[in-house]
Amino acid sequence: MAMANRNTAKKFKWSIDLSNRNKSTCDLASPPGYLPSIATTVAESAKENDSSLLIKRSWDVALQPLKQVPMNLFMMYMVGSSISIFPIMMVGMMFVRPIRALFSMNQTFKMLEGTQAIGQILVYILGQLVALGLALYKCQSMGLLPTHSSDWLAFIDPQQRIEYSGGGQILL
Amino acid sequence: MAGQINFVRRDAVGSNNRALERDRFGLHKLILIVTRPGKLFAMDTLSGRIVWQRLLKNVNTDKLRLYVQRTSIHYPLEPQCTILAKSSTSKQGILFVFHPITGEPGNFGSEGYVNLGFNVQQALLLPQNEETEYIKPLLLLDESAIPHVFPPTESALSHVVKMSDNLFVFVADTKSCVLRGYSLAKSTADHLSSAPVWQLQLCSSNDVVEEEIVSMVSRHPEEKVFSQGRVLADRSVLYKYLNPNMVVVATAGTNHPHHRGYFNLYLIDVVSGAVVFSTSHRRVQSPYHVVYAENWIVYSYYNEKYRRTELSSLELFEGQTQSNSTAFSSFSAPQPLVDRQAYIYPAHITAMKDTFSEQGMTAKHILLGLSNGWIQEMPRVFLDPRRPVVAAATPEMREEGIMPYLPELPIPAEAIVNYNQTVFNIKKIHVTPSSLESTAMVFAYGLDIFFTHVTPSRTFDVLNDDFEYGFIALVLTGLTLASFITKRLASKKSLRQAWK
Repeated sequence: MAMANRNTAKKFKWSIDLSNRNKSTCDLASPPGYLPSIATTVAESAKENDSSLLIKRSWDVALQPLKQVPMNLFMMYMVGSSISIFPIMMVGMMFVRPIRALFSMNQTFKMLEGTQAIGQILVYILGQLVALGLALYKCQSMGLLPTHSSDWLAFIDPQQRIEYSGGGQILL
Repeated sequence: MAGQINFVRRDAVGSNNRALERDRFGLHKLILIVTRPGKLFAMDTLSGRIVWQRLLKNVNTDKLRLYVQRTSIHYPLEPQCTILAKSSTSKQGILFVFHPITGEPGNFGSEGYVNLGFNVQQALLLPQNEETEYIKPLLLLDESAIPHVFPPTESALSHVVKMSDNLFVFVADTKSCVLRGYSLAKSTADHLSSAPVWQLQLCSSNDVVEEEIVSMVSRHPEEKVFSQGRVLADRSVLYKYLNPNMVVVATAGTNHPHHRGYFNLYLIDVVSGAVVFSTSHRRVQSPYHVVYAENWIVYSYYNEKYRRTELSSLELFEGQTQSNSTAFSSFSAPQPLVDRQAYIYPAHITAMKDTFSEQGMTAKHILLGLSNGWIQEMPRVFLDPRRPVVAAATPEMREEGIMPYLPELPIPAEAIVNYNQTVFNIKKIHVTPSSLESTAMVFAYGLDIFFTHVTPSRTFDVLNDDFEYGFIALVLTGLTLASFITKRLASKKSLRQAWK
């Protein structure tokens, strides 16, 4: 909405944009009971717990793919191994999610800070690889992987004939 | 059509003549017919009209052979067909070369007639290439087994010499049941020569039995095999035994003291002379018919004991592995595994032929000409020797696409390709593929002649007649219109929202 308002502000000279007002020009007194100095001290005291919280949160992020594994296993069991739209969609999702996560790893790693970052990164990658492995296993159990000789039958060229022969009934 | 039709071949149609326009699907062809009195006809497949006709002069029409040496695909090179016959005066071989589209004699000999000056024992068409200007050279073996090439050009001769190391010819004497194999390996650039390499005596030399070769079938030289194996239920592959040099030879005779007929079937590799497989049936009678395609053989006989016609089916496999996946040589060929099964057929068969398509992708049907004038189209899966004797189809069988074994084969009314237009005394059925993979053309002759198209796997490459072009066009234009209208409506809505 703000974007739209700004655009209209450019278009129409008579419109008043209330969102873009310069805040520094605000010279109104603080409301009663509000002390800006207290707000800053609270923020400073919170910073002391920050590093342990950060590590905890980072571990949450790193362990998230591994936590999904039991859920995935249950889904795999429920879906069955018939080739129809829902199992295929599920297998597709199982592939797409870890691959997408592995491609956007850099953004995730920004969230992983602190002293244990390298371990967390490794655990995170391991979790995604486990998810991929599960997807592959599901494909294998559904018979979607080209691991049998019959899957390559269509690509076999016909045998070249070495000798050429002909003939038949005597024409004399 | 007063005369008896002797041999039929088709050829693609050229584009010079306005009436004979080439069509995109290769369904417009000319049927070339040589009749017993020695008359040559070209018949249009679309209308059945006789395009041209010509009487062969001074030829003995006993054993005529018609060879298509060059089809009309190789424009601007002219198509060329050749008839091999015997001269009516000297009994020596004579060739008549002609243009299949116009019927004009070719530029050989006198008015297309070429006197060979020797008796022809055997003739075969060799593969073509660019060097021979896409002419398939005709290799002729005279009575002392000396090879000759027609057309006798430098390029054709060098082509033959080049492939002579691997070139083999066999000659079979149907009366004495002797097969002889010749190799052309000793040929040099200026002298073609052949040497006998093997000889087989199939029939017993005992005087009390009269046995002779009743049928000799080799695979169609233009047949292509699309799949090199069959997929089994456990997703492994059973590879087909595809021997291009194998010939099916059937002999039949009567055991005199008891007057009981018997029938022997031999699968012979004509390069090495090896008998790949043989089987025998006791107490059977003619008529015998044999069909051989890809890696399977279907043959029919009359069972004296049970008084019924039976169809037997053989299928040859290399096994779960291919001994050589790139090349096939008869000298190092593996021994095939043979599956077989026999079926009861409730009618009298007078002719039998398999359908084939350009790429070999389409399913195979067997065309059976019956004594009541019907032509039945029988899917090959009904004659599959892998049909197991079980009560009901198991899931594995369903996956593989095979049915449980039932001895009786049906004749459903919808499988009769000639409806109520019965063809009496069917002598032979000819099949040629069209450019449409799904469609094959069938020509049957006997007392009547009959031509039709068959589509063994349905017309999967052609839109149906009831395809709704109008409806599809309507839906598409509707969708395009709807997208324009919604675009306009969306812009209006966003404008209205901007005003809020």
